[in-house]
Parts: sequence; C-alpha cells; structure tokens
Amino acid sequence: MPQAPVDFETQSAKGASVRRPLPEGLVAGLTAAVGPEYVLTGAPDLRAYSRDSWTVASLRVLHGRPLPLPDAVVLPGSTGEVAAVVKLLYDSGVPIIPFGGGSGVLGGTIALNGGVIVDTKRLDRVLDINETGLYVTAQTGILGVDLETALGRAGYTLGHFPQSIDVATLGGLIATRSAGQFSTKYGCIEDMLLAVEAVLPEGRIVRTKLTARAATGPDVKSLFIGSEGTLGILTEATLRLHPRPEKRHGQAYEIGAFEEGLEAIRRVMRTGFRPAVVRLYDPFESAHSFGESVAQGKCLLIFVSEGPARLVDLELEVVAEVMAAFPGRELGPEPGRRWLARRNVVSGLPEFMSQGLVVDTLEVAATWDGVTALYQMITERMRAVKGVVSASAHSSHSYTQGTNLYLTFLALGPDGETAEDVYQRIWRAAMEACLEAGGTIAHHHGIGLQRVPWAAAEHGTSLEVLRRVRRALDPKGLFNPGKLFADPAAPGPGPDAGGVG
Amino acid sequence: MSDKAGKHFDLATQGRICVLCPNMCRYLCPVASVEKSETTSPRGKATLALGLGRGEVAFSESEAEALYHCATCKICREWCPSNVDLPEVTRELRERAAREGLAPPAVRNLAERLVRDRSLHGPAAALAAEGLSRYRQLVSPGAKVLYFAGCSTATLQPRVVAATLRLFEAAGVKVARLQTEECCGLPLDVLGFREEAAAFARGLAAAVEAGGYQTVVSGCPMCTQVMKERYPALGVTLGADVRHVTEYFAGLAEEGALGGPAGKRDTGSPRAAGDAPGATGRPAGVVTYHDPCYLGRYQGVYDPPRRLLTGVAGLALVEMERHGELAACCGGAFTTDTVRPGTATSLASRRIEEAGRTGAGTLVTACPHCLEMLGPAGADRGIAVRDIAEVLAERLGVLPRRSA
Repeated sequence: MPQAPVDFETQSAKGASVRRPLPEGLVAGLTAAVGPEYVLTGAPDLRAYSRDSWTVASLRVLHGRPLPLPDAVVLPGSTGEVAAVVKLLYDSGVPIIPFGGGSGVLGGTIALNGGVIVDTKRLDRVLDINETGLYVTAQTGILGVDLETALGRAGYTLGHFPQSIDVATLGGLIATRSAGQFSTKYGCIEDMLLAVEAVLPEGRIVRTKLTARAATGPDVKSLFIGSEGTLGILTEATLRLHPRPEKRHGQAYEIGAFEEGLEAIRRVMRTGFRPAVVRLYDPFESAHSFGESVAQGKCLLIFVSEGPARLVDLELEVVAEVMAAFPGRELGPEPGRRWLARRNVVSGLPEFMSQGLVVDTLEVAATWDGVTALYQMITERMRAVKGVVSASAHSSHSYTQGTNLYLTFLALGPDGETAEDVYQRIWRAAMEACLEAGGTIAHHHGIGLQRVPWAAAEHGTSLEVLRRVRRALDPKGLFNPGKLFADPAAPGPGPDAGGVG
Repeated sequence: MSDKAGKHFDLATQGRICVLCPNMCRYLCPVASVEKSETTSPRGKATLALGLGRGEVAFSESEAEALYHCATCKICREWCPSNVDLPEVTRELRERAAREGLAPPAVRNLAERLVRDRSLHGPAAALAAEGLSRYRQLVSPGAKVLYFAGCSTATLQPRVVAATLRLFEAAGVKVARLQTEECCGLPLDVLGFREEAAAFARGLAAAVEAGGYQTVVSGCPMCTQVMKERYPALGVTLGADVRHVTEYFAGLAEEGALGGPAGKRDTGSPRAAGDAPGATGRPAGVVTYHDPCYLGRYQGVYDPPRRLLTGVAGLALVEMERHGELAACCGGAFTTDTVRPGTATSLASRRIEEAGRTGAGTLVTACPHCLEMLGPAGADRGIAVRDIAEVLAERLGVLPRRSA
C-alpha cells in the first residue's frame, strides 16, 4: 500500500543518497556565472525557497516544523547563464531543482536532498508577438499575468487562465502540464505550445523547430510538458495566440443533481460547440459559493462563451437547446459574472487554515462512462476519513470524451502532526478510490512529491518509458530527484555519481 | 466566503494568512517584480516574520535586511482579500532590527545622519536660513495656516515651494512657515527607529503649538501621512488639522477661491502645462497622474489631485493602466531605495514606461520623493515629470512658465 510520500526527518528522496555539503568553490563558480547579487545562500533565502504552495509545506511553516533546505539558490538572467549554471552543478554532482513562481501545490520544488534551486524568474521578457503567424515567443520566467497583459495590449490572448496566473511562471505552467479556466475552448497548455528552448541536464541548449505542424517523428517539445523539472530547464517557449474575443457572455442553470449536470455537459460537448468555460458544482459547493442563486440541494451549471459575437450567440442558443431536455431553471448571466469576478480569490484556504483547519484541493479526471462512479466513490471515501468536515467537487474542464473533478476538502487539524496525518489519510483515500474507479490521479496540478506514491499505479507499464527517457537525459539522476515518479535505480547526487547503463 | 470589506484580522493572524497563501499578490509587489527572489516576495517576508516572531529563526543582519526589501507601498493590503497589511506585519521586526543594531548599514547611516542633521539633505538650520529668506514676502508670520514644505521639497525643489506659496497667495490664504523646518520623522518611523521618530514628532508638535497653527498643509504625502496616522501611534498629538496640498487646494477650488485657466488671470498660451511638444510628438495639454503610495493608498486621496488637474488647470488627464488604488510604486520610500537602490530605479523606469504608453508628454505627481525618483527616468524617455503645485501655479498664471 502506498505510504505518505516522504518523511522529512528520516527519509530522503528515493534513489538519492544522503545530502552532502556543496563542493568547495561551487558557490564562487556560480557567482562568476551570474553575478554575486543572484547567488543566494543566506538563511532567510534558503528558508524562503524551502517551500512551494503545497499544503504540507504550508502546515510545516505554520506550525514551525522542519522542511529540507536547499544549499543555495541561483537566479540566472539568460539562457546562456542557465546553461553555465547547470553545467557547473551537473559536473559537481549537485541536485538541481528548477523553480518558477512557487505556486505548485504538490511539493514539486522541495529540496529533498538539498542541492541548488535554479529560479527562472529573471527570464521575464516577451521576445516576439508575431501577428501574422499568430504566435508569441517569451522567456519562461515571465509570470502568466505579465505575459497575458503584454498580449492584451497588442490585441491578443493566450486563452490560458489558470487560477495561479498571477503567481505562476510560463515555464512552470508548461512543466506542470497546466490547464486554464477557459480550457474547454482554448485547450490546455499542451494544445498551445508550438516550440521550446531548454537547457538539458548536462548543460546543453536545445531548441525544437517552430512550425504549424510536423510529421517528423515523436514530438520532442512534448517531453517537457509535465516534466516537472526532471528533464531540464525550459528557457523559452512559443505558443499559439488568439485575437482578443469580441464578445463574452455567460449563462447559468440550476439543475437537480450533479449526475444530471454531468450528462448535460456531455451532451453539450457532443454538439461540436465549445463554450470556453463549463463549470458544474455539486450541491455543497453550489450552496456554499452561489447560495443566493441556487436552491438548497440543487446544482449550479455555468457556461461562459467567448469569441466572435455571432458564434457566442449561436453557442449559447445550442446550450439552451440541450439544457431544455433537463428539469431545472435558467439563471441568466449573474452566476457567471459572479464567478468571473471572484474566480481567482483563494483567501478562504489560508483563512480557514490559520484557524486550525486543513483545507486542500485535488483534481482527477475520467471518461464520461466512468465519471459518475468516480464522483460517488471518491467523495464517499474522502468523507469517511476521520476528522473530515466536508469533501465536495465541481467539474471545471470538459472534453468530448470526459471531464475532470476538482475536489475540495476541509478537515480538523488543530496541531501540526494531526493536520499532516489527516491530510495524508484523505489524500490516500482519494487516490486509491480514483485508481479503483478507473480515474486519472491528476488532471492539472501534476504529480510533484505528494502524488509520487500513486504514480506507478497510474502509469502502469508505460512508466518504464518515462524512466528510460529520464535516465537517458539525466544519467546522474540530479534533476529534481524524488519527484514525478520514484526511481529506486537512479544514482542520485554525489561527486562520484556515474551514469546508468 | 465573505467579501474583502469587513475583514479585520489581528496582525498575528494576518501574518499566518500571508504565509499560507500561494503569494497571490506577488505580481503587484514592486520589490518582488524586480528582485524576483522568493525571499523578498510578500510570502517570503511573512514567512520570515513568523519564524522571527516565534523565535524559531535567529535574528541576524541577513534576516533584518530582507525586512527592508519592502517599498511599504501597501499594494499588497489593497489587493489582499483578507486585508493583510504586510508593512504593518513586519513593522515591529524592523523596530527590533533598529533597536538591536541589526538594520543594514545603509539604513543605520541614513538614520544617524537624519538624527544629526535634523533633515534629509543637510543641516536643517542652515537650509532654513536660505529657504526662508527667498520667499519672505509670501509668508505671513502669525497666520493660522502653516505651510510645511517638508525637507525634500524645501531643499531639492525650491520651485515647488514657490509655486505652492503663490497658490496660497492667489487663493487669498495667509500662511506661516517655521523658522527651522525639521524632518517630520517619517523616514525614521518607517525604518524602525521608533523612539527617534517620536522625538521629531514631539518637536514638530511643540512648534505647532507654539505658533498656534490650526492647519498644517504640506505637499509631501509622507509628511502628512506620518502626522495624520503615525503621530497618534507614536503617542504624539499634533494639535492641528493636517492636509496635503491637493486636499487643501481642491477644497479651496470648490469654494471658488482658486480660479480656473479661463478665469481672470492671463494664462498665456492654452497649451501650457509644462509640456514640451514637438520633440517627442506627444500632445500638449495632456497629462497623466502618478498616485503617490503615501497619498493614495495610505491617505485615500485620489480625487482631489485629479479634480485640480482637470477642473482648475483645465488639462486633459489620461490614466495609466495602473492608477488609483492599484497604482504602481515609484520605488522611493527610504526602505527599498536605501538597501537596494537598483530596485528602486528599475521601478521608476517601469512607471515611466507605463506613463509613456498613455501618450501624455507630462507625468504629474504630488510627492517630492516620487518627483526625485521619476524625474531622471522621465528625462531618459522624453517625459516631463512635474509636481502638481508647479503645474497648477503655471496654469493659473501665478508662476512664470519654466523654460525648456
């Protein structure tokens, strides 16, 4: 049975040896590569980089419990500097942890065995907005919001609006395989990426060719989507653009049951129309977030359509036709407006947690034929965990073949130890239920550290392909060790670490 | 989830909330946006503050320095759905750093110099002698309104002093000035030198009492903020009403005491405003306005300067993308600009870049420190950076137009 992903006090990352001090002269070498201002070794710096937005890390800070510290942090200012830094670290056998905005919620940047964090946020330039080719090339350390603002000024949008857009970097959004709130129309990050530049583990710079489409063998850029810092560091990315939409309009419905709502979405998806936003809340979340619009016990279903005005009007007309087959009532544009206004407000989580509760979200996915069973099984199992106050769900990213479930749980965790314990028990219940029901354990947050115990079961026989790719690109096992999936055979950090045959 | 309004968590809870948040305001934090480091991001500073506050982390110079990498611009609080006020959450720790001699050397030097000179830019007494003689005819000893220029305006921007005094004269308001105008105490207060700041506050309160002034008017938002909001916290009562120049003159304008450009005074060419059209091809008579953090977010003064620019000066105002409550900081509040001047100058150039996108040839502001920060950046990009009093006085024809 999978255990909690890591015990910081006793266990280092799988496949990596115990932490060693940085080799002599390394900090001087890093300083020569990027300048003294951008090599951080002070105690406040190491503490600040000891965490991302993983709930366990937050609980550790809140309760004053230890987190593993990196040995140093480097902020390179160019692709060349990234390559120089990576080569230096790799040659020295030091673990390398790529870092973007630190908004990941799964512990993906925790320096399990120490090592050096390479923060990419100084790579923050938009390099080219190509209006004819309808694409943008930017450095990967730019924040999502800064890229979208620059595109907006030029009359374009990426169409990628994850809740973390104000915090996450472009590189992080690619490396975690993110999905935005408008994904049903614009797709997820893998549907947007056209080309990348990356620094490989041994320090070599590679670029994939920019094209509209290619039949030239397996797709190299796709390797980096969802690689979570294990295959190198992304330094530039080229993505599809869309002209800014002419019209945006929302339409909401009250519907009797969550399962009915899922069926309604499935039918909408079959029409061939793609409302940008499709969100269905279960009775608990409908009452909690939209109690003024929806009757107790009922579910809220929001569609937001955007694009050319004629398309938006037609799309919402088709949605209305589909919805006419379901008992319920039309609620007009107001719930959609309310959602749009508050969609990135996450203050409830820290406010609850500051009062001794444990709150987190996790996201899974399934095909239409299995999603109802997944919803029932996962919420029941989560609610059955002792200490759980609530476990609820909404669907927020739909496809022709299926949808995701975004679960939110709240539990009692008055002290650090109890909080982490209940947290891991809920996660375990959810992940096991998901696998049992045939669902996918992660829809858009990734694996990080938290989901590693279930990664092997998720991938099945295909895990071996990922293992071999990882060992081929990172023979010393130094890039973000212990994340994405466990590789007990990986050699791990150390001055004498050799390659794996 | 309730709305932002009405959320009042005590400072300790605010700190915990900030630590637990995914750093959602980092894109607005001026320091984080330039320095990029997690350490000086809002959550990084809150995390440090929590560790220091609970004694889990040893307080050394490196911890102390991180606390000064904050522009104290309060955009985090403005944005935060939980109303977390990070500069306040960390204030006590800056005070501890100052007390225990752990503040960065540049900060300690600034504080020592200020205590010695009684002014930011050289000995207060010497400056006073020069400054007062220059505008003697515009000052009325015994008046009930005190014009407190502030040491930066008085020393670095004498033309703003002249403009402000001319505006008082034009409005028929008699004003007095102090024989020796010392620092208001704000830099010391914000840097954590609480007792020293309180001593300055007591000095000013005594001078105000001795002069029997009923109103203190200053063009420096930092002076008016510390007098309005921090003197009470420092245990000092200033027995007078405090107004920023823009608040005061907007009030006078409403009473009809200030004429508009179409009034009886000769305003010269209608395309005034200090614009130098031609060279940059930017339209004349069109300005943008930079909200100083200490005037806007601290004191809530957003409309008066805009009313003065459009209503009294008759200028066309075009707003920057970020204005009002979410206006970007220029970098100058004695904190970031003291410990890492490069961060502050980057912020100033970004603000000027934003001003440039409006198409306006002139950026008007209402703070001597913003003026000093933005002026050089503006000069590099052909954007004139002017104080509002100067622009108003020129438009009303009470101050000769500045030659190009």
